[in-house]
Amino acid sequence: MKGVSILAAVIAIAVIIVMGFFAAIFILSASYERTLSDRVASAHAAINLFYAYNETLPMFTNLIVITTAKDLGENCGGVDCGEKCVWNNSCPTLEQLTDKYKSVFENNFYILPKNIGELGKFNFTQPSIKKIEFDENHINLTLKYHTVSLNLSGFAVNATNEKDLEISENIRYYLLLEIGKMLFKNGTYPITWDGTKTIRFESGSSNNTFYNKCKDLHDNYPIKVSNYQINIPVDNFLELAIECGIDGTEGLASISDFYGEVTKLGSYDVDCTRREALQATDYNWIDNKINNVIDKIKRILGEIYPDLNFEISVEIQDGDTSCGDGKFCYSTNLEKPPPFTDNNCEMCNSYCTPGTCTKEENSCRCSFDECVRGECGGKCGCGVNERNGVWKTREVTEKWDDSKSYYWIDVYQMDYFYDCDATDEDCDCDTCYDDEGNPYPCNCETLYVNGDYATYSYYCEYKENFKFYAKPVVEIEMEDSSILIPIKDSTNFDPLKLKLKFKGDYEIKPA
Amino acid sequence: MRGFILSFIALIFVMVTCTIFIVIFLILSYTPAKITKELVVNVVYEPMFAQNMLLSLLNMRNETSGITFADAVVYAAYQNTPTPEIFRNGKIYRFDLSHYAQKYVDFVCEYPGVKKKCWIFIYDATSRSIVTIAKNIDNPEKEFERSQKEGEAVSRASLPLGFDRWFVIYTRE
Repeated sequence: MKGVSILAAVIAIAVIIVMGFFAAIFILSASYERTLSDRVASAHAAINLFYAYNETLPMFTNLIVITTAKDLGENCGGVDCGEKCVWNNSCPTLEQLTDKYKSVFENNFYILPKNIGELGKFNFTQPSIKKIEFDENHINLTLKYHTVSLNLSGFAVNATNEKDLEISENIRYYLLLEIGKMLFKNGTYPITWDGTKTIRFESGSSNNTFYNKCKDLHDNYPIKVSNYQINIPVDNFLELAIECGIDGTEGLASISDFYGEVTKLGSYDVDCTRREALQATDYNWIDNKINNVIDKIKRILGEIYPDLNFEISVEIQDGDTSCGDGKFCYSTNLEKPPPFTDNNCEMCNSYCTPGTCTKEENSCRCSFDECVRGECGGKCGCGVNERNGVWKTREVTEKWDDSKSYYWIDVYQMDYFYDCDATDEDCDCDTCYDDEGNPYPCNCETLYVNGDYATYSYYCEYKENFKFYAKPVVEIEMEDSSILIPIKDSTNFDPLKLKLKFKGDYEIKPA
Repeated sequence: MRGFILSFIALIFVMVTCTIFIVIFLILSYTPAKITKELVVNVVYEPMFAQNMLLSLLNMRNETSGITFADAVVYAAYQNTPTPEIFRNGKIYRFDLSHYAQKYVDFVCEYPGVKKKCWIFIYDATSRSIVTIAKNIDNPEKEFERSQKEGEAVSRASLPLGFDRWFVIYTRE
């Protein structure tokens, strides 16, 4: 009996244990299923988030690539286009420009959406830039993929891609930079145009500051376009093209006559200006010269790069803030006024006859008074109304005016007309009486001077050998319409542009 | 002696039984849980529905231009319009997000035996403005607000389009 009891107890314990196991297994199984389903859902969500972001990443990158190029291109490639750093031979270099692009692109790139939604327990790591490379028609990017990760106890998900993402955007930003830099630097540059062309700088005039340099360029440094290459054998192509002229179009070096002369005669305010004197020389407007060169450069570039548009404008400044129209000004910054050379006062005397001019320091003067016609005085009878004579007073001054930097002749002339305008009343002697009281005509000894006819004359004459300063600011805008770049908050598009600003500093004077 | 034998047999029985269940437990512990329909549909699939919708929608493509919905939605954010224009292969194409999204909603959210409430919109968190791209219910904003308050399961998916701007999909049974 005792054995049976023990057996019953053992079996009962065994049953309890078995039931406990069943219960434990059931509980664990249910819990594990919940945990597993949660993890599966999390992993699914992580992968979905990775791919959702991945779908938009190339287009976001594309947008940043092209809008960065556009923004920098319209800002001189990203350099300061002002006084500090215009395009010239040393600043900026192509490397600086591409570094600038990379730097700005990276800044723009890392403002990509970072928070990819209500992530909860997910961690998101943004894509990162591994490499940026340029070729003439593309910007090539290598990106390290973004990551969506999850790390729970004993369960980790890392949704990413082991490979790098290669993105190549078709934009000719680097090409524009290279062309822009080519205009200011030595070198050889490949082009797509298959024509052959030789371009020469013009030699200009022998009576000019630029002559020797331009002649040397003309003789020894032709620009050759052949075999899909263009050599730019001289530094600062633009500057030299403006100075010397190019391909049959004359530049500043063709200006040989710096002698200006203009003469005017007027009643009161007569002024002879340097501008008028320049116009009176044997060349036309200097700005026309420059504009002709610019047009020629534009045509040449348009021929070599037929799928790019070139807009070139030039503004010439001489630093004189008083330049009126802003288009063209003439420097008055002469080093010193030319000497007063009219030692014999010939110019003065030509206005002073019959007087004689006397030489003073840097001037000639004369003055005389004379009755130049008829009788200046005398008697006229009562009731006679006629001109008797003309009395002239003249002062002539010829001098160099420091303030205006030109010669001028100031002729002050006053004419007095001696008229016999004696009416009976004026005469007050229309009747004379003899001793017997009989009236008779009598002569009055009255001189009438009428000053109403005085004149004032002013002549000025400009004669000078001068030199000319110009600081042309040339702006070139290259435009590539092969792709259009969207404008933010608009459905409009812009082509890719690259603006260049070049500032010359020329001094033109007779050789 | 007989009691001892019986006890010994019972002990052996218990040990064998325990061993069997321990083995079963261990096997269960290292075996994936059974993939039931409930697990797949209710626990995994439904919460992912909006995300799957988002992925599929982003991949929709205009066959003529080759522009995907994902491309267009990026431009939509940049141009600040649900009808962005995209330059591709020398032409400018206009892409109407609503046109494609609505077609997708009509196809995915309603079919015989199934009626899901779907709402696709762009949300600007700065201005707190919503631009509805597609929907299959009236007043979706109120409808989903009510669902959330009442604790109903809402499946959501969102894709950032920039600073504080999102492309969002809401669905629920």
